[in-house]
Amino acid sequence: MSGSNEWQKRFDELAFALSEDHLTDEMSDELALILAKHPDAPRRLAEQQQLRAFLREDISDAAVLPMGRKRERFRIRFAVAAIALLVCAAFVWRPAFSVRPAPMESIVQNDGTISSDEPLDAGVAVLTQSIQAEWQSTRRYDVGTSLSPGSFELNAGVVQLEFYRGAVVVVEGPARFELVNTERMICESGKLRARVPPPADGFTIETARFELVDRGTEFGLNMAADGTGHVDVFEGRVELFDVDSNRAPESRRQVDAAGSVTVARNGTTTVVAEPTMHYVSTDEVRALAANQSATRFEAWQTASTALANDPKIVTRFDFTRDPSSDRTLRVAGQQQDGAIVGANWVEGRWPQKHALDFKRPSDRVRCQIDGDFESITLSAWVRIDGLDRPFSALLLTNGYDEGEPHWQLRGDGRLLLGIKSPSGHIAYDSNSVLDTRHIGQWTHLATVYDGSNATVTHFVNGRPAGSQPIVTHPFPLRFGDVEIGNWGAPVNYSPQKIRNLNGRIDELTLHRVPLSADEVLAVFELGRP
Amino acid sequence: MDTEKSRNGESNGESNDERGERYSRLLIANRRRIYGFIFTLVHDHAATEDVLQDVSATLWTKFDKFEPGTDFAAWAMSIARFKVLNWRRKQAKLPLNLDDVQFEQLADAAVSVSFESETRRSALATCLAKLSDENRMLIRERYTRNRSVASIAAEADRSRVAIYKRMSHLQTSLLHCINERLRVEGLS
Repeated sequence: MSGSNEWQKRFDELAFALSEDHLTDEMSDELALILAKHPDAPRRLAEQQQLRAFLREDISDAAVLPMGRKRERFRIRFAVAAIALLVCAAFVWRPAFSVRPAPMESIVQNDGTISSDEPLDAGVAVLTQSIQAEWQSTRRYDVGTSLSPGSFELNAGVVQLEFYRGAVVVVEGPARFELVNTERMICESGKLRARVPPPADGFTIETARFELVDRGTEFGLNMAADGTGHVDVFEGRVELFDVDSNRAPESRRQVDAAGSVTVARNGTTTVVAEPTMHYVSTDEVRALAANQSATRFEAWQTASTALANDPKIVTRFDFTRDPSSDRTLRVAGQQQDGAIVGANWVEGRWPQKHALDFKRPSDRVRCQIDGDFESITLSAWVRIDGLDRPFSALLLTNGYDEGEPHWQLRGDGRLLLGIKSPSGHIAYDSNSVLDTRHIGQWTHLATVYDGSNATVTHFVNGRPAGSQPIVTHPFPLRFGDVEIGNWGAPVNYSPQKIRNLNGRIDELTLHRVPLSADEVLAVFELGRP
Repeated sequence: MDTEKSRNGESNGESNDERGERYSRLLIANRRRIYGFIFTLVHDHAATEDVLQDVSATLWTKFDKFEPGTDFAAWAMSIARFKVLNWRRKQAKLPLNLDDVQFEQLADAAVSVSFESETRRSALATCLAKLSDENRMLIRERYTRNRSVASIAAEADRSRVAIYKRMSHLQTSLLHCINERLRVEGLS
């Protein structure tokens, strides 16, 4: 934070203390001084107090301004109209059509050019590495997840967090910490090592006893269970202040490289001759991650080879590049290889794994799938790079004849299996679970069409994402000519509708049986990057 | 004009009941704005309620002076300002000492903020919805249910300091969110 906003930080602290009736005489004087000195301060105090007054009521039912709602409804109507134009009139809309805004975390960071209806990234740091991490919470934190302010408890493993302001912190479990904002965190217990480049100068870690402010460049911090703190400075300098002293100059202690100090529970700082422990650095994490990645890839490869002979599988593309034939997508099993049009070979879930990148409107893989099926399971590992069109194709039959499935994504984040039935068309939608958090992340998608139990169930990352009954009389599903990542629309559909996928695929499997929820979860766990 | 008022206090053909109803409606519609204004200058909920009671009573006795169609809250706040000043003079100790100039500045700021009351409250609803469940619960427990920090800390197995700090940061973040929403929507 620049100096001009320093008063605001202290001011907010004091205003909060005022609200909590914790204002000492000194703090009261300090607050009055700030009010006198800064012309914006009275306004800000009034805003804070009004906010406190609001929070006292239970405003969970407070209506969002009609303006906001109307815009949302308008977008739904527009989207429906647009889709109606694009799609054959025989399509039947299920009454369950609705757009739920994706739940986003915590607080807004807004650059002013984004409309208030769009989801915004509320994170302060992104998780960039995760080595055998075990979290106390049941929530999953995958690599690439943007973390919002809040508490975290890492029971084991090593994770690397990159704060939006620039600091890179490697945390070793067991550790309890809290993310406050883009340049501040609280360490209750555990070990961490931080690298603070110039843009992040001033990165601060609060502990129970002291406030550590980094002035570049790298240090280690360990908070032991008994409340003792160790600080080892590897490069540059850090400053330590008594916590709650508002960085009072009297309490300032400076520690330069390569110095080490211990801070006892009562606040006494002792200089120590040399670092007493090892801190995992970013280089080590990278090496660990590469090792982990190689291990996981090998495990996947072994499992993948075994699946080549699985009788339950109709066709399976493992997206292994054949150097002798760059435009061929090899298939395991009886079916034909696919013909790659346009799509380029890129990196998949692991550095050692290949994937195809679908970007341009012409990118596609053409193949053929023979056979009739009472039930099917479609599953794929997809990295969605954008959902900026009404439909994004995963696997679509050319044209749309009876019994033919269209497996695709909707622009509002739903997985869709469309089946052409004898009497029309049925759209089996998932819940709206895909959102901006999935963009750029490898995601497992699966849809189970269970002909005997008459249900269609969708899965995202191994978890059920919506289920619907099959209400038509049974009829067999068939594929024929299909395209991956695009749609070979028949001649009488015009204009050519843009539904090419914007993203990467590195595995696609078609089973002739319905997989159970446990089996889908197992597939997901096996293939997790 | 006095000649239009009958002996039992009717004016403009309005009965006393109708007048009372009109007053109630206006008070209920503007109560939040007036409460926020008083709270900003008094800093304590219980005291705010007391002052608000006093203000409401005065508003009723002076209701004839209120011009229908004008801003009821603005009028109420001008009366509340005097009431708050009197209340402050009577206190042995104030949470925040302000000289006369500072008080007026803060009171003016409070009036200005109260004009944005509805949009700010609506923005707050949106900002609260964006919080994690944990944070939202924390706010509800502390502010709406008025649970003590000590009890919340004990249940969450955290120190009081940690909870206190979290609440402080949450309040700042919420305010930032509200101000940003207003700025983006061009309302402030």
